[in-house]
Amino acid sequence: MLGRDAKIGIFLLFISALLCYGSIRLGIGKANAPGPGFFPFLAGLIIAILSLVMIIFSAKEAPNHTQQKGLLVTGRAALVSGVLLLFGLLVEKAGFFICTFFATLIMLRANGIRKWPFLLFVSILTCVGIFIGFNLLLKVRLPLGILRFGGQ
Amino acid sequence: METINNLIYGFGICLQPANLFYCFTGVFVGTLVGVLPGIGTPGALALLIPITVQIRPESAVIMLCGIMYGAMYGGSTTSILVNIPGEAASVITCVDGYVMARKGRAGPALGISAMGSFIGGTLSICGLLLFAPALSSFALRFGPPEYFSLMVFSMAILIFISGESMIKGMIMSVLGIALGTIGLDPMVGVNRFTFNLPSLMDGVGLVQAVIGLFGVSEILISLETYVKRDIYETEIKGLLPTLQDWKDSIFPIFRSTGIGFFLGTIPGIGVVLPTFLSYGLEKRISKDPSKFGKGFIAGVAAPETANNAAAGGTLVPMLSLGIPTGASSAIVLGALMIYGVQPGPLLIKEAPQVFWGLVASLYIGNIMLLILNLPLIGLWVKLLKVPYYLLSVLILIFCLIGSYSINYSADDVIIMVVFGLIGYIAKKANFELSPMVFGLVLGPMLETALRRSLVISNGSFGIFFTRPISLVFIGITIIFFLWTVLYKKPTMVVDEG
Repeated sequence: MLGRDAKIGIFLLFISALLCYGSIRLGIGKANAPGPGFFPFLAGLIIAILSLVMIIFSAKEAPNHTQQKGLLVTGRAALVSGVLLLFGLLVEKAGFFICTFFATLIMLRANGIRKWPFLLFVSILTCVGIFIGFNLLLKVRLPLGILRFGGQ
Repeated sequence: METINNLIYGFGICLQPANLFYCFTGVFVGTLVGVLPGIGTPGALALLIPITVQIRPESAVIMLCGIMYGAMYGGSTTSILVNIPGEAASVITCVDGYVMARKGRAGPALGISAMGSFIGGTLSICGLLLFAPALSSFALRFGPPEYFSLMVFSMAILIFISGESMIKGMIMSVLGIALGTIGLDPMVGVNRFTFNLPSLMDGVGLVQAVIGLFGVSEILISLETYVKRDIYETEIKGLLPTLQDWKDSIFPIFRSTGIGFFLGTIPGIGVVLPTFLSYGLEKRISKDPSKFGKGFIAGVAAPETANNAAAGGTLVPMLSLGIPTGASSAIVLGALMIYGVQPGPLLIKEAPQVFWGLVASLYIGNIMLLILNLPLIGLWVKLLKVPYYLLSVLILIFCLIGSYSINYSADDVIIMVVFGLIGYIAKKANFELSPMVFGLVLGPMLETALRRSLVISNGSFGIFFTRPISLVFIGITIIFFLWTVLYKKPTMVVDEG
């Protein structure tokens, strides 16, 4: 049974192989005239060597699975990561107000807040506060999305 | 005489109302970041960079450096009152600081921490004044091979001291370097690993990456680990240390200033290690070492002085050589490049307003911090009581808006989240994040230096061993490496604990 570090090492070996392949396609060139792929190829090679060392060291140590935390994003962290990704995907279309409101609401709820009046109050306050701080004071143009009225 | 004239010029810049405002904002935000857990100095610096792009470079650097040393002050407050360090550089302060608070001496602990920080910070500026111009003149002799070796040396130091596994540190720094190759090739202008995404044409944005790595990942981790913050409810009185407190602290303060400053100037060392070394030294040379750990004031004064002196020291290689000493200075360095200012030996000559304005602002900022910290401790304590569930959500929303506002691009938000997930997984697997940021910042410079060196030497790697300055850096790196392999076998950390 492979330990956690060995699994990470194998994943990194895969990454290094991709990096080396991409670098070769870019053109490594010669030592006296290095091409655009020369440096990333070198980096890929070093990652591969280090990953192998990590796998070997990991294999020498008996994996203690009871003490190892899983690396997958699960539970509340997964929910919050999803909200952040959705914010990135939707902010330009739906607009800053809607995205910030729902992001705040869902993340607060994920953090265990159950009282709806409080949730709504904090979410609205966050939207208004961010708008005043960024849009009005710092002149950062936040996207209005579907709330863009009158061709603004 | 020339230095005094330059310093007067610097004060002329720093005392402009706008720059005073930015200096105050920097030290205030820095203290806030130091006090509140959840984002850390690198994340806060990255969050503020988009805002600073609109202002003059000297004003921006004054504010960013204010955050750097302001956080050193703020970190001590949580260490003393909550037993949770706001900053890694205040970890050792918990040992005696919290015990002092439990004994009803939170006031003198906070007081000596602020005084020590002020003395360490102010004296380190004198060191900066003395060494930075001299080092700049010396660095004019550096060519691409010397720069390459120096960067390798600084990365090696950072890897050796950070984390429990050297191999993991090396992997992170090389991954950072590899990520730094994304975008246009610096010498022939070919697109590399951009997958035709316009947002990657200019490379992976440092700001998005750092916000993700240090801001988002920290919050994601905290969602899985509940840390109870018990603020020790005590009346904070008598902030000014007694005469006996001063007698116990004054020599540790001066010794820690020296340790902090000189270690801070070594690329890769950063501000954390000096605090442990200064504490260890004071304990070793103390007539009664058993006092340490039981609420001895020197145990607070030494590390708190050392971290502020080190923060000043880190500016020496950053400003004179263009080499960062840790994640925070790497971000400031990256910010300088965004503003169009090239850090390095020519900085003092080509952008004197940035260098001298910053030096003068360090004096003013330290005075502001002393004024800010002692009377406002009550406010910081109240802020500590803000529920973390609320704070974490607000930080995440700031991260989202901050990364969007860099280029007004939703792609930047996605890049930030991806880096947040990378940071989350890396932290869980015990990989240090600082080497990755270091690699990301130094990668493009390292590549240019390597390729130019090879062109100069007609393809021979021997150039790094035949030029004396380069040989010294490479030699020290090899000695460090062999020493670590032979005497400190690289151990893979299997468990989290």
